[in-house]
Amino acid sequence: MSLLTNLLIGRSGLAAAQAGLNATSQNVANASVAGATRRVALTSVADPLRDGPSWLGQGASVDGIDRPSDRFLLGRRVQAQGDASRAATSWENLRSVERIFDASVGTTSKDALEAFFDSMTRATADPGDLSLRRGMVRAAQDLGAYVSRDARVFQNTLADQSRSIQASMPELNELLTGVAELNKAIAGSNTGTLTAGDIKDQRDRLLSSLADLAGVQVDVDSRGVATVFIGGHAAVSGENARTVSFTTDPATGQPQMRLSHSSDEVVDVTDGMGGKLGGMVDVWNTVNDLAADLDTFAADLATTFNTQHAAGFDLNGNPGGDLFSFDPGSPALTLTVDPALINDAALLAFGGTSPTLAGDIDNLRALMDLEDDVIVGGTRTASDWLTDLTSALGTQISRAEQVATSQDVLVADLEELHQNLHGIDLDEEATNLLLYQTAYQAAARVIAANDGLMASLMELV
Amino acid sequence: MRIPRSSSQLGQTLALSRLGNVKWAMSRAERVATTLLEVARPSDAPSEWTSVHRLSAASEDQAVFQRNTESALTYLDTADQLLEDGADVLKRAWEIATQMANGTHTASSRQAAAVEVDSLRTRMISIANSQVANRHVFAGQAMDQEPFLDDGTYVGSTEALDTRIGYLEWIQVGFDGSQVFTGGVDVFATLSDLSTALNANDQVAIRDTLPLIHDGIDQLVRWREEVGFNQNLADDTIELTRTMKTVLQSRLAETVQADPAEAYTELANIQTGYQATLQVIGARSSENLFNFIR
Repeated sequence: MSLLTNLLIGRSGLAAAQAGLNATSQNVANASVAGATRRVALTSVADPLRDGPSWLGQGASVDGIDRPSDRFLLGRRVQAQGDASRAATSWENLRSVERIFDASVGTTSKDALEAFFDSMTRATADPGDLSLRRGMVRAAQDLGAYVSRDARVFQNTLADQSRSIQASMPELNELLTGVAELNKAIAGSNTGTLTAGDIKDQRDRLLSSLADLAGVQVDVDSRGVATVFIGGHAAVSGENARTVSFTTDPATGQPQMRLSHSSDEVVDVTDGMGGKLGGMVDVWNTVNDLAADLDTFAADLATTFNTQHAAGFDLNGNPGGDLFSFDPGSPALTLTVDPALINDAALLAFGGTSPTLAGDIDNLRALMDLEDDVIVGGTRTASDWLTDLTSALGTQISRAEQVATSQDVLVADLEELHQNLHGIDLDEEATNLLLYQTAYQAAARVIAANDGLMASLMELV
Repeated sequence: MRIPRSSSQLGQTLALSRLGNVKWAMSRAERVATTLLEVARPSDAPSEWTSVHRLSAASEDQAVFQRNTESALTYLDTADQLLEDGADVLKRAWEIATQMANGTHTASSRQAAAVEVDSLRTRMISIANSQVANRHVFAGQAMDQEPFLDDGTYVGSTEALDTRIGYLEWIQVGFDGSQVFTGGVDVFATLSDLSTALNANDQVAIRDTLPLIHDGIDQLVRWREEVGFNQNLADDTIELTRTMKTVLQSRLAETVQADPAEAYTELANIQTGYQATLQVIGARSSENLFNFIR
């Protein structure tokens, strides 16, 4: 072994410490950067050289900067994040719909329905009294107005969800393309260098955004290349990204998302979509069901009351006309009281015979009996139908809240696990800094000592 | 043993998550404390939402029943008073008939009495045509028109007028005047007969009206008893609806309303928790080994 070898060994020590300091500096600099993971300097004992009967050490070897990662954990995190995002989106959007049923805020359509029934009972106190009759007309108008308001809220929510889904398509496709491009870079530079680690960090950030937006599933291969699935269909495969497009079902108006598989093949991935987009689809489906139920309520209620009203006679002895009017194409949205009754409450057909006596309430009694009759959807009373409608929404929201809360806990647990394994701990970095600083100083001392010895030798010459 | 890393990112994520949870809890507690409603939206208690609605609707129904019953009571009180007045009229006619049936009276004194009996008959027609708030009490369902003509002919309705005072209960507030005043005994005809007998100075005919007048009084008293029964029913119903309303509102309150003390205490606890969370986060993020390296 020569002094020159010792100098080289010292230099390898400097390089090893330098690499450690490099990784530590990178870690400290990115300690607060979202999505950054720690780097580790990969060093090893350099292969020794055979020198006769013995082996001579060659110092340390720098193998690169590693980015420790767990690809299975990444897949689980992305999945959980997508589920949490889907539930949270569903919960938040449905809560805003629920405001129309908030008793602490104001009158609800259920209150208006009860008030309408009560107005008929009140009219029995003096059936010929026009003010009581006008009270019933007003109550019916209020019922129509609140049902229309609910229908409008439902309609606006459906339109909002569709618009939001459509507006998210460019972002979704950009993310898919971004992952594909980063996949290409990772595959091309998978040498354990610092650059590859940074690219993987970027890619993971995109995957996190994708999970949040579309609830994708991810499979990372041993090279670190990610395959992204939407509803079981590959949306990113290696360096190829497919495009998701938006359309609406012409029959139902339901928003649909289609993945272009090849130039002439598309796959409907609406049902497999997760994340915010999946949550918005869930909200659309729920609100669409509510809107359909409200339409059934409005149409059946109006038709039944109109039929019974037509069976009676008004104060003038004429047969009753329609009590409610509505457009069969959108019953809830257009439910209102027949204009003739708004102008003249005497046209309310309370009487059962003609000529009508002021106190004849035979038909009013029949109208009142409809409160307890199964008149909506062939299965429920009007009151029960509205209660079922609101309580179904309440159950959906409550369930979404529970799922969102439990998914949040799961996401937090997985994030904690990820951070425990791959996060940047400043205490650890400070310790490493001291370690590498000391190692660097020691290696420099080795070089200095050898340099001194060499100088002494040189003086002998 | 591997010591888990405690990264600043994890600290930030957990801090945000915890703060988010506390803020959500605080927002709900604030809503409960300001509205004092534990259940305001369907999602607050989906399983109880149906019963909340039923209790609320039933409570409103009781309020309407109570209002209708109070209104009915006004008509019944008036009917009761009118029937008492009618009976008084007949009692006065009976006194006159009894006096004038006595042989000591002259034709002129009987003619003078006939004038009073005519006036009593007019008074009786007026009683039978009386109205409350433009509603004729003894017109049956034809309550918007006078039920009796001046000659005592009934032109009202023979159908009773009912008001709803319960889910299955109705109370009669408008009466068939033909039954009340001309049903068994035609009180108007009896008074006319008395007047005719007095003018004719016919002692026997005067005496013949006495049992009819007596039966007429009984007839009005029986109807007064009928009205009294309805008055009692109305009184009982008002009491019942009040009690029911109180019970229903109390049950509704148990389900829906928050206990103020509990709501404010809960809010105060969460606010304290929020401050504590902030302090813990502040303390945690300020310490690491770099602070001690010089």
